[in-house]
Amino acid sequence: MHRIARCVLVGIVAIALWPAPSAGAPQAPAARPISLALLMAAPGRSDLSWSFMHWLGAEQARRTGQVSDLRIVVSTPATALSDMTLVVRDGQFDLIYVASFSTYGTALRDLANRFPDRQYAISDIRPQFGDADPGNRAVLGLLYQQEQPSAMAGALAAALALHYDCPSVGIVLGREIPVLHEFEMGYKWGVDWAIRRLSETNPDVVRNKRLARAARKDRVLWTYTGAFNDPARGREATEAQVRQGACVVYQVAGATGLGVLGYMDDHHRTRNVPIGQPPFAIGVDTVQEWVSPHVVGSALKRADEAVLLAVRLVREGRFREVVQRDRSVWLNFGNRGTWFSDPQLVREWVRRAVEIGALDGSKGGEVLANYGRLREPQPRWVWQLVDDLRGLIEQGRVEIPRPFGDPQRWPIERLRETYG
Amino acid sequence: MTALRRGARRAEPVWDVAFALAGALAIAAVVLRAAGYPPLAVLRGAFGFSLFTAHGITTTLAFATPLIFTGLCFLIGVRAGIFNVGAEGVVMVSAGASVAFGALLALPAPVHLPLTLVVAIAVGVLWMLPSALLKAHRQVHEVLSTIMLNWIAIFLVAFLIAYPLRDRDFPARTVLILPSSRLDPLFPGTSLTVMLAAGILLCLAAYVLLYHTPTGLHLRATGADPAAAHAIGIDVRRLTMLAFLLGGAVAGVAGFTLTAGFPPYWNIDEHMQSLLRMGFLGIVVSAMARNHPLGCVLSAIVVAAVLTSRSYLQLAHGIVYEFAELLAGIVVILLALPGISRDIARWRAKQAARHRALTPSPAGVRGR
Repeated sequence: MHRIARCVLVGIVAIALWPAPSAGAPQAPAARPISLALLMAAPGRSDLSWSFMHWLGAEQARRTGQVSDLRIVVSTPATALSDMTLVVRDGQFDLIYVASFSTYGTALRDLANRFPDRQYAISDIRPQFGDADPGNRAVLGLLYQQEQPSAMAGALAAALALHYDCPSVGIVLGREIPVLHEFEMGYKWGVDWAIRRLSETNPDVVRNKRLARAARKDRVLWTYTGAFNDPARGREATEAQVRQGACVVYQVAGATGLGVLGYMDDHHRTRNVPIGQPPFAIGVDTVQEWVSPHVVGSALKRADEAVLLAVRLVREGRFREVVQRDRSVWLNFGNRGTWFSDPQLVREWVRRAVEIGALDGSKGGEVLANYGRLREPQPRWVWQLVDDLRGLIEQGRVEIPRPFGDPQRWPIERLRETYG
Repeated sequence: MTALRRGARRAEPVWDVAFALAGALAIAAVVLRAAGYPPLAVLRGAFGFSLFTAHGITTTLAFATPLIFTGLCFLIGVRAGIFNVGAEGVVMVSAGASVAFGALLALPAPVHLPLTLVVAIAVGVLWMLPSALLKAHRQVHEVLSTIMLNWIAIFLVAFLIAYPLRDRDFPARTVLILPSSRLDPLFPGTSLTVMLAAGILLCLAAYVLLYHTPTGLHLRATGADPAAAHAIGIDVRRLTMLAFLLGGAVAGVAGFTLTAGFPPYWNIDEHMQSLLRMGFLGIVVSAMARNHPLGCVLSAIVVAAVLTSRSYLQLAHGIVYEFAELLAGIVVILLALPGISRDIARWRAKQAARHRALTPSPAGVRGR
């Protein structure tokens, strides 16, 4: 009996291990709609923020017929070179979009020099090639100014804290990696800017308020949770900050941040606090207003727009030209590549989520109704302040520290001496 | 007849693995079918890619190399009756040490690389020392102490990445190890280095040590029955220490391999993804090899092949990443299952005996 079973199993293994001749090689691309490979860091789009945004852009390009063949590969840094070699080697993709420079940066540098006739785009970094390197003319960098929406998050948080007279505002972050320094400092700068600005334009709302009286370094409670994938830690950190008096908490922590939003939901439910009353949360990367009814705003990095932009350049045959001329494209308030969510955008987002099937229609209506109930009780000057800062940033009339974009000029240590 | 039976017993591990592999593939096939993919084409393609294409083979071998070392770390522990799961932390700190020593110090090429390796090993040994002392002298459970130290190691290295080792020009990773301390790839465009040969040699050395030296005999005796080993005059305390520290040394080599020996990276990424789980996968490797050093290389290659196939699954069949991970997880768990369940059962039985052997006997009987 055993012997027969063993023979059968050995047979199965033998068949399974037999090498398949060039299995499933993707087809050559058609002329107009392009073929796109999207490379993302693990865990891929289930992070509901950064990778999700890239996927959304790619998926939209596919659904609208701009992309005929979309392949998605998710890697860890250890597998990045191997995975990317596989994507690049046979030249079957018109565009290779890299969503994570920390995962693929080294592999991209290596492969772009070896295969400079392919077209690569990468989020979040300026391509680093010498003038003589062949990769120089193959890679387009798509860069984001995340300090801009973060500063608006700080201004909104400070305004709400002044209105409800809370002693502080909070920010919960993931593990301490350099790009998060820019979110952290943008936020702290925004809080400081709001108080200075209101002291001049609307001193009544600042006078005798606890946040304004506090020393500059004590206004923002900030916690690095040490993880991007642990909602429990996000919840814990939020609870601690709310207990210490923060009435707005900005989350910059990936899936850990879902714990921040979850805490807000529970806080309101268990204490019977209606929507529109503090504490509030501020979301990140995507429009997180639809995740919780207590999210007053979201600091967006429109990676979906970045993917669509790169696809457009390839389809119009302008990719090489832009790479040769500029090497990289900045996504910021100017071209709406970064943004702070507003009612129009939230409506647009919900419409798109319903279209794609991420939300059903009735739930979409509920999200919008809750969002209205959230904004309605806040005084008009709060939104006015946020709009003012948006305008100043768009016109380039304020300078926000960029410890990630330009660490030589804005070292994080010195910024913390000033802003806490 | 006896010879036949002995032969059958020798072949038993092979059957174990064959059964586990067949079971794993069968379950994977069912899952694939349920999700609407052609199971046979996918599985054949995946293994064909990992083991029968030049790109797949070099990738598989490059992934297998550090797993050989972390597998050996667990293996040496188990042979001495210790369930040492501290390789994860050792890989972290020795990788951190390799980058610190290899990147921040400018030394001439002929000495820099070997010294970096020595530093990585020394740090690995030091990191195991607390668990070793706690186990040998205070009978503190090694699973507890090593897991706690793993967490300390993760956050220590996270700190190193965020501050002292940070590359201001490329903030998503640490500074690069200097060329004088790098291992170059055996084939350009791959991550495969000479450390694979070092791994194979180390497995041979471990085999000789465990099965052909008095120390190895004492180690295995301690593992088989600590009380009896103590009774016949073996210094159980010293051998427990030795097993821990040897494990720390080989896991230290894994940390070195994943940094100085992993072209074209030669750094640690900000999320430490190239290091995470390498220590724990060592347990799988060792269990699959039935804790025999000569089986370690092969089982490391099998585990690495499964991991390598993930990219093929995504690219050739459009299988989403989560699903590719799920399949790899199913296969890896089932491969480890027969070995690991036996290990745990044996280890639990031995705990009581070890406790008796290490507890100081009354009235100074010991040493007379």
